Amino acid sequence: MAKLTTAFTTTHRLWVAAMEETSRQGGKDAGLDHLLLALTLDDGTAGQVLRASGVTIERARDAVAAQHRDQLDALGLDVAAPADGPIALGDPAGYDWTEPARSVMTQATTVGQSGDTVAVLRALLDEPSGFITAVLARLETTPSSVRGLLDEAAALPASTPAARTDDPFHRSTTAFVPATPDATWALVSDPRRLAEWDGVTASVAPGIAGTWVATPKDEMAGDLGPQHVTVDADEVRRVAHWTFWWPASKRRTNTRHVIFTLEPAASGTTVRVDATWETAAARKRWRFGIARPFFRALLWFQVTRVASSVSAALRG
Amino acid sequence: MSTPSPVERASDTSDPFAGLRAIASLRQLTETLELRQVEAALRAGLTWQNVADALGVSRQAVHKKYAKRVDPSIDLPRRKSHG
Repeated sequence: MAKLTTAFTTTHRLWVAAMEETSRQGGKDAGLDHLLLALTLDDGTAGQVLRASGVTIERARDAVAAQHRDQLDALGLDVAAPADGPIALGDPAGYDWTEPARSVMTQATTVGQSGDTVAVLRALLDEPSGFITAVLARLETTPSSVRGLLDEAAALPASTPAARTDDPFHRSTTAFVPATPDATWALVSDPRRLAEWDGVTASVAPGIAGTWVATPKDEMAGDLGPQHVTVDADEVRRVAHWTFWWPASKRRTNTRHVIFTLEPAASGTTVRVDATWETAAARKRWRFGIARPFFRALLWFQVTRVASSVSAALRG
Repeated sequence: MSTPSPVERASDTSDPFAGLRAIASLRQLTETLELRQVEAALRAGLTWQNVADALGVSRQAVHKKYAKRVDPSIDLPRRKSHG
């Protein structure tokens, strides 16, 4: 069961990051190149090993583009691929892995493999076309060098996992963001920039008594009315506590808390996102226990989405 | 020694593995450009049949490939032959 959860989490996170990278080129098919770019954003061992090898998101994007350019040049085509735009995932429908990328993901989650991002990276290093080897060569490293670092990391004692919370209305996740702690803090502590990472917010304006009023993006949220927001930002500890509520909602709604905690990391920042719902009504339902898996999954998607949106906003 | 012309470079089959990988890059570029053109065509009010005619494939083939891939904000044309 744990392996299934790991494989699902890995697949989902890599899927989101790879599709975001694909969207920058206006494509819908995430290939080996996009999978490599997604792995550079991993907050676990695979991402750390890649970044320690000099394979950061910016360098890897340049190396992938240069590799494609040279391969096209070998065909006598002096064409530059269309310039990359900002991440524009929008509706995830229509995106898919290419056959080689799907094959790597399948290998990593097959019997005997752990299904985590390390397994995906190992499978990617073994991909048979030689494209990844060529990209790594441009970054002055090799698959065997990266494999060696993965082996060394595997020999280290495992870190103690965070205690699992019993609160069904609280979930947390961590993500690597390829931006400085200052740049990350400037984003996650500023209510005026909420729309950059909150998918449902269209615009934000100052309210009264230190609150902010966020106008939702789509008409479907019409019966919720504007969302009110406060941010308690502790710049010294780099902890930003956001509270969201809908005072004019015609539906029963829950006050939501999202807490960002930042820590410096090599080539970027580690962001921990905690999400909690405050709701007496839901807690009553929880006592029956039936809704527990539903709420846990919903909150997991919520924190994962917040973390990936922050990452996407900062890497553009 | 003269520099090989683009046609000579494109026809070079001395390293077929590298050549095939280059074709993969070309295919990826083509797919991206094709999607952009199909989206632009649909935004401009062309029908699936118009798109199919220009690409030289059947309407069914182009619809199957792109119906779920194009930008969802595009108002997709209803089934009709031309225009």
